[in-house]
Amino acid sequence: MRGAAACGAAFVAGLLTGGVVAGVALARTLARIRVECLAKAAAADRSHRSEQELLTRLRALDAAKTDFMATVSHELRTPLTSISGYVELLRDGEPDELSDAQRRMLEVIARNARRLRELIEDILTLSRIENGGFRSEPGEVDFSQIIERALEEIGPAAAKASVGVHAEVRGPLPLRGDGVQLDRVLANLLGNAVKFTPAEGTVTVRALHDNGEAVLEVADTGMGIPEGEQKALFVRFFRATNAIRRAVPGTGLGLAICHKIVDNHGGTIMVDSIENVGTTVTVRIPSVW
Amino acid sequence: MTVVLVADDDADIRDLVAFKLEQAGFEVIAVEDGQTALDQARGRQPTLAVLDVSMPGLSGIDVCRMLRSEPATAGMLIIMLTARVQEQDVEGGFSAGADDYVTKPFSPRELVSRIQSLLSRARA
Repeated sequence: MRGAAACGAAFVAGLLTGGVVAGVALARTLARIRVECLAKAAAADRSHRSEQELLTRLRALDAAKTDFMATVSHELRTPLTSISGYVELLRDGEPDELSDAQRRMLEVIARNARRLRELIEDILTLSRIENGGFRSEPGEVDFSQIIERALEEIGPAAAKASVGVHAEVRGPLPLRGDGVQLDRVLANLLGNAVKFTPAEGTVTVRALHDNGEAVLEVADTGMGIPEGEQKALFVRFFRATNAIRRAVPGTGLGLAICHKIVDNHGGTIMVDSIENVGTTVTVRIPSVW
Repeated sequence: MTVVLVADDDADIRDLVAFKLEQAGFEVIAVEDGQTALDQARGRQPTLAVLDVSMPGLSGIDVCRMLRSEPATAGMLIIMLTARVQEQDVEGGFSAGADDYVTKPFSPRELVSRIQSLLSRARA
Protein backbone atom coordinates (compact mmCIF):
# COMPACT_ATOMS: atom_id res chain seq x y z
CA MET A 1 0.00 0.00 0.00
CA ARG A 2 3.01 2.29 0.47
CA GLY A 3 3.54 2.15 -3.28
CA ALA A 4 -0.12 2.87 -3.82
CA ALA A 5 0.11 5.81 -1.41
CA ALA A 6 3.04 7.36 -3.27
CA CYS A 7 1.34 6.70 -6.56
CA GLY A 8 -1.90 8.23 -5.25
CA ALA A 9 -0.11 11.31 -3.94
CA ALA A 10 1.60 11.87 -7.29
CA PHE A 11 -1.70 11.37 -9.03
CA VAL A 12 -3.45 13.85 -6.75
CA ALA A 13 -0.67 16.41 -7.16
CA GLY A 14 -1.01 16.11 -10.93
CA LEU A 15 -4.75 16.52 -10.86
CA LEU A 16 -4.49 19.43 -8.47
CA THR A 17 -2.09 21.46 -10.52
CA GLY A 18 -4.29 20.82 -13.54
CA GLY A 19 -7.87 20.58 -12.32
CA VAL A 20 -8.00 22.88 -9.35
CA VAL A 21 -5.93 25.69 -10.81
CA ALA A 22 -7.91 25.48 -14.03
CA GLY A 23 -11.18 25.54 -12.09
CA VAL A 24 -10.37 28.63 -10.08
CA ALA A 25 -8.81 30.38 -13.06
CA LEU A 26 -11.90 29.57 -15.06
CA ALA A 27 -14.16 31.08 -12.41
CA ARG A 28 -12.11 34.28 -12.44
CA THR A 29 -12.08 34.33 -16.23
CA LEU A 30 -15.85 34.04 -16.32
CA ALA A 31 -16.15 37.04 -13.99
CA ARG A 32 -13.76 39.01 -16.19
CA ILE A 33 -15.60 38.02 -19.38
CA ARG A 34 -18.80 39.36 -17.87
CA VAL A 35 -17.18 42.69 -17.02
CA GLU A 36 -15.67 42.90 -20.51
CA CYS A 37 -19.00 42.09 -22.11
CA LEU A 38 -20.74 44.75 -20.07
CA ALA A 39 -18.05 47.25 -21.06
CA LYS A 40 -18.52 46.32 -24.72
CA ALA A 41 -22.25 46.64 -24.29
CA ALA A 42 -21.80 50.10 -22.82
CA ALA A 43 -19.59 51.05 -25.78
CA ALA A 44 -22.21 49.72 -28.15
CA ASP A 45 -24.79 51.85 -26.38
CA ARG A 46 -22.67 54.93 -26.92
CA SER A 47 -22.63 54.20 -30.62
CA HIS A 48 -26.42 54.74 -30.61
CA ARG A 49 -27.61 51.22 -31.12
CA SER A 50 -31.20 50.83 -30.13
CA GLU A 51 -31.61 49.91 -26.49
CA GLN A 52 -33.96 47.08 -27.35
CA GLU A 53 -31.46 45.37 -29.61
CA LEU A 54 -28.80 45.72 -26.95
CA LEU A 55 -31.07 44.19 -24.33
CA THR A 56 -31.83 41.19 -26.54
CA ARG A 57 -28.16 40.60 -27.19
CA LEU A 58 -27.28 40.91 -23.52
CA ARG A 59 -29.98 38.43 -22.60
CA ALA A 60 -28.74 35.93 -25.19
CA LEU A 61 -25.20 36.40 -23.92
CA ASP A 62 -26.31 35.93 -20.33
CA ALA A 63 -28.24 32.77 -21.22
CA ALA A 64 -25.23 31.34 -23.07
CA LYS A 65 -22.98 32.15 -20.14
CA THR A 66 -25.38 30.60 -17.64
CA ASP A 67 -25.62 27.44 -19.70
CA PHE A 68 -21.85 27.32 -20.03
CA MET A 69 -21.39 27.69 -16.28
CA ALA A 70 -23.79 24.83 -15.59
CA THR A 71 -22.00 22.54 -18.04
CA VAL A 72 -18.57 23.45 -16.74
CA SER A 73 -19.69 22.88 -13.15
CA HIS A 74 -20.83 19.38 -14.08
CA GLU A 75 -17.61 18.61 -15.88
CA LEU A 76 -15.53 19.75 -12.92
CA ARG A 77 -17.23 17.27 -10.63
CA THR A 78 -15.65 14.23 -12.26
CA PRO A 79 -11.97 15.11 -11.67
CA LEU A 80 -12.93 16.44 -8.26
CA THR A 81 -14.38 13.03 -7.37
CA SER A 82 -11.00 11.43 -8.03
CA ILE A 83 -9.07 14.08 -6.12
CA SER A 84 -11.15 13.96 -2.96
CA GLY A 85 -11.80 10.20 -3.23
CA TYR A 86 -8.13 9.20 -3.48
CA VAL A 87 -7.19 11.66 -0.74
CA GLU A 88 -9.80 10.00 1.46
CA LEU A 89 -8.32 6.56 0.71
CA LEU A 90 -4.84 7.77 1.65
CA ARG A 91 -6.04 9.41 4.86
CA ASP A 92 -8.01 6.29 5.80
CA GLY A 93 -4.90 4.10 5.43
CA GLU A 94 -2.92 2.43 8.22
CA PRO A 95 -1.65 4.90 10.87
CA ASP A 96 2.05 4.16 10.18
CA GLU A 97 1.70 4.36 6.41
CA LEU A 98 2.25 8.10 6.18
CA SER A 99 4.51 10.54 7.99
CA ASP A 100 3.01 13.45 9.94
CA ALA A 101 4.21 15.85 7.25
CA GLN A 102 2.48 13.80 4.55
CA ARG A 103 -0.72 13.75 6.58
CA ARG A 104 -0.62 17.53 6.89
CA MET A 105 -0.14 17.81 3.12
CA LEU A 106 -3.12 15.56 2.51
CA GLU A 107 -5.17 17.71 4.83
CA VAL A 108 -4.30 20.76 2.73
CA ILE A 109 -5.34 18.92 -0.43
CA ALA A 110 -8.59 17.78 1.18
CA ARG A 111 -9.39 21.29 2.41
CA ASN A 112 -8.78 22.78 -1.01
CA ALA A 113 -10.77 20.09 -2.77
CA ARG A 114 -13.63 20.98 -0.42
CA ARG A 115 -13.19 24.64 -1.30
CA LEU A 116 -13.31 23.84 -4.99
CA ARG A 117 -16.42 21.78 -4.42
CA GLU A 118 -18.11 24.70 -2.66
CA LEU A 119 -17.15 26.95 -5.56
CA ILE A 120 -18.69 24.54 -8.04
CA GLU A 121 -21.88 24.25 -5.99
CA ASP A 122 -22.16 28.03 -5.72
CA ILE A 123 -21.53 28.59 -9.43
CA LEU A 124 -24.19 26.04 -10.22
CA THR A 125 -26.67 27.59 -7.78
CA LEU A 126 -26.06 31.03 -9.21
CA SER A 127 -26.47 29.89 -12.80
CA ARG A 128 -29.62 27.99 -11.85
CA ILE A 129 -31.33 30.92 -10.16
CA GLU A 130 -30.31 33.19 -13.02
CA ASN A 131 -31.99 30.71 -15.34
CA GLY A 132 -35.13 31.13 -13.27
CA GLY A 133 -34.53 27.59 -11.98
CA PHE A 134 -34.99 26.21 -8.45
CA ARG A 135 -38.13 24.49 -9.40
CA SER A 136 -40.16 25.00 -6.21
CA GLU A 137 -43.13 27.15 -7.19
CA PRO A 138 -43.45 30.50 -5.48
CA GLY A 139 -46.23 30.18 -2.96
CA GLU A 140 -47.16 31.84 0.27
CA VAL A 141 -44.42 31.31 2.85
CA ASP A 142 -43.99 32.60 6.37
CA PHE A 143 -40.62 34.35 6.37
CA SER A 144 -40.48 34.24 10.17
CA GLN A 145 -40.57 30.42 10.12
CA ILE A 146 -37.75 30.34 7.58
CA ILE A 147 -35.75 32.61 9.89
CA GLU A 148 -36.49 30.49 12.97
CA ARG A 149 -35.43 27.35 11.12
CA ALA A 150 -32.16 28.96 9.98
CA LEU A 151 -31.48 30.13 13.55
CA GLU A 152 -31.83 26.55 14.76
CA GLU A 153 -29.48 25.31 12.05
CA ILE A 154 -26.75 27.86 12.74
CA GLY A 155 -26.84 27.03 16.48
CA PRO A 156 -24.10 24.37 16.52
CA ALA A 157 -21.68 26.41 14.34
CA ALA A 158 -22.22 29.51 16.50
CA ALA A 159 -21.66 27.51 19.70
CA LYS A 160 -18.49 26.01 18.27
CA ALA A 161 -17.18 29.48 17.40
CA SER A 162 -18.29 30.87 20.81
CA VAL A 163 -20.45 33.46 19.07
CA GLY A 164 -23.66 34.43 20.86
CA VAL A 165 -26.82 34.57 18.77
CA HIS A 166 -29.70 36.81 19.82
CA ALA A 167 -32.97 36.76 17.96
CA GLU A 168 -36.07 38.87 17.98
CA VAL A 169 -38.44 37.58 15.33
CA ARG A 170 -41.94 39.04 15.27
CA GLY A 171 -43.96 36.76 13.01
CA PRO A 172 -45.91 35.90 11.09
CA LEU A 173 -44.30 37.50 8.04
CA PRO A 174 -46.26 36.14 5.08
CA LEU A 175 -44.86 36.74 1.62
CA ARG A 176 -44.98 35.15 -1.82
CA GLY A 177 -41.77 33.35 -2.50
CA ASP A 178 -39.67 30.27 -2.98
CA GLY A 179 -38.95 28.68 0.39
CA VAL A 180 -35.86 26.82 -0.85
CA GLN A 181 -34.30 30.01 -2.19
CA LEU A 182 -35.10 31.96 0.96
CA ASP A 183 -33.58 29.16 3.09
CA ARG A 184 -30.41 29.69 1.11
CA VAL A 185 -30.43 33.46 1.80
CA LEU A 186 -30.82 32.89 5.53
CA ALA A 187 -28.15 30.18 5.63
CA ASN A 188 -25.75 32.51 3.81
CA LEU A 189 -26.41 35.60 5.89
CA LEU A 190 -26.29 33.81 9.26
CA GLY A 191 -23.31 31.74 8.12
CA ASN A 192 -21.42 34.89 7.13
CA ALA A 193 -22.28 36.66 10.38
CA VAL A 194 -20.96 33.75 12.47
CA LYS A 195 -17.94 33.17 10.22
CA PHE A 196 -16.72 36.76 10.33
CA THR A 197 -17.33 37.30 14.06
CA PRO A 198 -14.54 36.50 16.52
CA ALA A 199 -15.11 34.41 19.64
CA GLU A 200 -17.21 36.14 22.33
CA GLY A 201 -18.80 38.36 19.67
CA THR A 202 -22.53 38.44 18.99
CA VAL A 203 -24.91 38.06 16.08
CA THR A 204 -28.29 39.76 16.42
CA VAL A 205 -31.18 38.78 14.19
CA ARG A 206 -34.29 40.97 14.07
CA ALA A 207 -37.30 40.46 11.87
CA LEU A 208 -40.54 42.40 11.75
CA HIS A 209 -43.29 43.67 9.49
CA ASP A 210 -42.85 47.27 8.41
CA ASN A 211 -44.94 49.26 5.98
CA GLY A 212 -45.91 46.40 3.66
CA GLU A 213 -42.55 44.70 3.85
CA ALA A 214 -40.98 41.85 5.78
CA VAL A 215 -37.74 43.25 7.16
CA LEU A 216 -34.83 41.11 8.27
CA GLU A 217 -31.74 42.51 9.93
CA VAL A 218 -28.64 40.43 10.64
CA ALA A 219 -26.08 42.36 12.66
CA ASP A 220 -22.70 41.06 13.81
CA THR A 221 -19.77 42.39 15.79
CA GLY A 222 -17.28 40.96 13.32
CA MET A 223 -14.33 42.20 11.27
CA GLY A 224 -16.50 44.36 9.02
CA ILE A 225 -15.82 45.34 5.41
CA PRO A 226 -13.39 48.12 4.42
CA GLU A 227 -15.43 51.14 3.35
CA GLY A 228 -13.99 51.34 -0.16
CA GLU A 229 -14.96 47.73 -0.87
CA GLN A 230 -18.57 47.72 0.26
CA LYS A 231 -19.96 48.57 -3.18
CA ALA A 232 -18.34 45.46 -4.67
CA LEU A 233 -19.85 43.07 -2.12
CA PHE A 234 -22.52 41.69 -4.45
CA VAL A 235 -20.14 41.23 -7.37
CA ARG A 236 -19.44 37.57 -8.11
CA PHE A 237 -16.17 36.22 -6.75
CA PHE A 238 -15.46 39.43 -4.87
CA ARG A 239 -13.87 38.85 -1.47
CA ALA A 240 -12.93 41.61 0.97
CA THR A 241 -9.19 42.11 1.40
CA ASN A 242 -9.38 41.68 5.19
CA ALA A 243 -11.20 38.34 4.77
CA ILE A 244 -8.51 37.10 2.37
CA ARG A 245 -5.74 38.37 4.65
CA ARG A 246 -7.15 36.45 7.60
CA ALA A 247 -7.74 33.38 5.44
CA VAL A 248 -11.47 33.22 6.20
CA PRO A 249 -12.80 30.53 3.84
CA GLY A 250 -15.36 31.49 1.22
CA THR A 251 -16.15 31.50 -2.48
CA GLY A 252 -17.11 35.13 -2.97
CA LEU A 253 -20.43 33.98 -4.40
CA GLY A 254 -22.67 33.88 -1.34
CA LEU A 255 -23.80 37.50 -1.37
CA ALA A 256 -24.18 37.50 -5.16
CA ILE A 257 -26.54 34.53 -4.72
CA CYS A 258 -28.45 36.28 -1.90
CA HIS A 259 -28.75 39.45 -3.95
CA LYS A 260 -30.15 37.57 -6.94
CA ILE A 261 -32.68 35.67 -4.83
CA VAL A 262 -33.89 38.75 -2.95
CA ASP A 263 -34.12 40.56 -6.29
CA ASN A 264 -36.20 37.67 -7.69
CA HIS A 265 -38.60 38.29 -4.78
CA GLY A 266 -38.90 41.99 -5.62
CA GLY A 267 -36.93 42.95 -2.53
CA THR A 268 -33.74 44.77 -1.64
CA ILE A 269 -30.62 43.85 0.30
CA MET A 270 -28.33 46.43 1.88
CA VAL A 271 -25.08 46.22 3.79
CA ASP A 272 -23.95 48.67 6.42
CA SER A 273 -20.50 48.00 7.82
CA ILE A 274 -17.64 49.53 9.77
CA GLU A 275 -14.30 47.76 9.65
CA ASN A 276 -13.40 46.07 12.95
CA VAL A 277 -16.76 47.08 14.45
CA GLY A 278 -19.31 44.98 12.64
CA THR A 279 -21.70 44.51 9.75
CA THR A 280 -25.46 44.78 9.44
CA VAL A 281 -27.27 43.27 6.48
CA THR A 282 -30.86 44.40 5.92
CA VAL A 283 -33.24 42.51 3.64
CA ARG A 284 -36.65 43.92 2.74
CA ILE A 285 -39.15 41.82 0.81
CA PRO A 286 -42.71 42.90 -0.10
CA SER A 287 -45.21 41.21 2.18
CA VAL A 288 -48.63 39.87 1.22
CA TRP A 289 -50.22 41.49 4.25
CA MET B 1 -19.11 -13.11 -1.08
CA THR B 2 -21.50 -10.41 -2.27
CA VAL B 3 -20.85 -9.49 -5.91
CA VAL B 4 -21.07 -5.84 -6.93
CA LEU B 5 -20.97 -4.55 -10.50
CA VAL B 6 -19.29 -1.17 -10.98
CA ALA B 7 -19.75 0.67 -14.28
CA ASP B 8 -18.02 4.00 -14.93
CA ASP B 9 -16.22 5.18 -18.06
CA ASP B 10 -13.74 7.20 -15.97
CA ALA B 11 -10.96 4.74 -15.11
CA ASP B 12 -9.79 6.66 -12.04
CA ILE B 13 -13.24 6.67 -10.49
CA ARG B 14 -13.85 3.04 -11.47
CA ASP B 15 -10.60 1.99 -9.75
CA LEU B 16 -11.41 4.14 -6.73
CA VAL B 17 -14.82 2.54 -6.23
CA ALA B 18 -13.53 -0.98 -6.97
CA PHE B 19 -10.63 -0.60 -4.53
CA LYS B 20 -12.87 0.69 -1.74
CA LEU B 21 -15.48 -2.04 -2.30
CA GLU B 22 -12.86 -4.82 -2.36
CA GLN B 23 -11.44 -3.41 0.84
CA ALA B 24 -14.95 -3.62 2.33
CA GLY B 25 -15.09 -7.32 1.41
CA PHE B 26 -17.10 -7.32 -1.80
CA GLU B 27 -16.26 -9.15 -5.00
CA VAL B 28 -16.16 -6.49 -7.71
CA ILE B 29 -16.81 -6.67 -11.44
CA ALA B 30 -15.60 -3.37 -12.93
CA VAL B 31 -16.67 -2.36 -16.44
CA GLU B 32 -16.30 0.78 -18.53
CA ASP B 33 -19.48 1.09 -20.54
CA GLY B 34 -23.21 0.50 -20.46
CA GLN B 35 -23.37 -2.45 -22.86
CA THR B 36 -20.71 -4.41 -20.94
CA ALA B 37 -22.50 -3.53 -17.72
CA LEU B 38 -25.71 -4.98 -19.12
CA ASP B 39 -23.96 -8.17 -20.35
CA GLN B 40 -22.19 -8.69 -17.02
CA ALA B 41 -25.37 -8.00 -15.04
CA ARG B 42 -27.26 -10.59 -17.08
CA GLY B 43 -24.47 -13.16 -17.00
CA ARG B 44 -23.06 -12.83 -13.49
CA GLN B 45 -26.18 -11.73 -11.64
CA PRO B 46 -24.49 -9.41 -9.11
CA THR B 47 -26.48 -8.53 -5.98
CA LEU B 48 -25.93 -4.83 -6.57
CA ALA B 49 -24.88 -2.55 -9.43
CA VAL B 50 -23.25 0.88 -9.17
CA LEU B 51 -23.91 2.64 -12.48
CA ASP B 52 -22.52 5.94 -13.68
CA VAL B 53 -25.26 7.91 -15.45
CA SER B 54 -23.26 9.35 -18.32
CA MET B 55 -21.40 6.64 -20.18
CA PRO B 56 -20.86 6.39 -23.94
CA GLY B 57 -23.47 4.30 -25.75
CA LEU B 58 -25.95 3.03 -23.21
CA SER B 59 -26.24 5.42 -20.28
CA GLY B 60 -26.55 4.23 -16.71
CA ILE B 61 -30.22 5.17 -16.82
CA ASP B 62 -30.75 3.05 -19.97
CA VAL B 63 -29.01 0.10 -18.31
CA CYS B 64 -31.08 0.55 -15.15
CA ARG B 65 -34.32 0.62 -17.11
CA MET B 66 -33.40 -2.52 -19.08
CA LEU B 67 -32.35 -4.44 -15.98
CA ARG B 68 -35.65 -3.57 -14.33
CA SER B 69 -37.64 -4.76 -17.33
CA GLU B 70 -36.09 -8.26 -17.39
CA PRO B 71 -37.38 -10.79 -14.82
CA ALA B 72 -33.89 -12.22 -14.10
CA THR B 73 -32.47 -8.84 -13.10
CA ALA B 74 -35.57 -6.91 -12.06
CA GLY B 75 -34.81 -7.26 -8.36
CA MET B 76 -31.14 -6.20 -8.57
CA LEU B 77 -30.19 -3.35 -6.23
CA ILE B 78 -29.06 -0.34 -8.26
CA ILE B 79 -27.21 2.81 -7.21
CA MET B 80 -26.71 5.58 -9.77
CA LEU B 81 -23.59 7.76 -9.77
CA THR B 82 -23.85 11.13 -11.41
CA ALA B 83 -22.11 14.45 -11.80
CA ARG B 84 -25.47 16.07 -12.42
CA VAL B 85 -27.48 17.37 -9.51
CA GLN B 86 -30.35 19.10 -11.23
CA GLU B 87 -33.60 17.93 -9.69
CA GLN B 88 -34.88 16.55 -12.99
CA ASP B 89 -31.78 14.36 -13.34
CA VAL B 90 -32.35 12.84 -9.92
CA GLU B 91 -35.98 12.25 -10.80
CA GLY B 92 -34.90 10.63 -14.08
CA GLY B 93 -32.72 8.19 -12.16
CA PHE B 94 -35.44 7.24 -9.71
CA SER B 95 -38.09 6.93 -12.42
CA ALA B 96 -35.77 4.48 -14.22
CA GLY B 97 -35.96 2.40 -11.06
CA ALA B 98 -32.74 3.16 -9.18
CA ASP B 99 -32.74 2.36 -5.45
CA ASP B 100 -30.37 5.18 -4.57
CA TYR B 101 -28.61 8.12 -6.16
CA VAL B 102 -25.12 9.39 -5.30
CA THR B 103 -23.79 12.65 -6.74
CA LYS B 104 -20.17 13.32 -7.63
CA PRO B 105 -18.01 14.26 -5.88
CA PHE B 106 -18.87 11.59 -3.32
CA SER B 107 -16.94 10.11 -0.43
CA PRO B 108 -15.95 6.46 -1.12
CA ARG B 109 -16.57 5.76 2.56
CA GLU B 110 -20.09 7.14 2.26
CA LEU B 111 -20.75 5.15 -0.91
CA VAL B 112 -19.81 1.93 0.88
CA SER B 113 -22.11 2.74 3.79
CA ARG B 114 -24.98 3.52 1.37
CA ILE B 115 -24.34 0.13 -0.32
CA GLN B 116 -24.28 -1.67 3.01
CA SER B 117 -27.49 -0.06 4.18
CA LEU B 118 -29.23 -0.93 0.90
CA LEU B 119 -28.07 -4.53 1.26
CA SER B 120 -29.23 -4.81 4.86
CA ARG B 121 -32.60 -3.27 4.02
CA ALA B 122 -32.96 -5.75 1.15
CA ARG B 123 -32.17 -8.67 3.42
CA ALA B 124 -34.61 -7.57 6.14
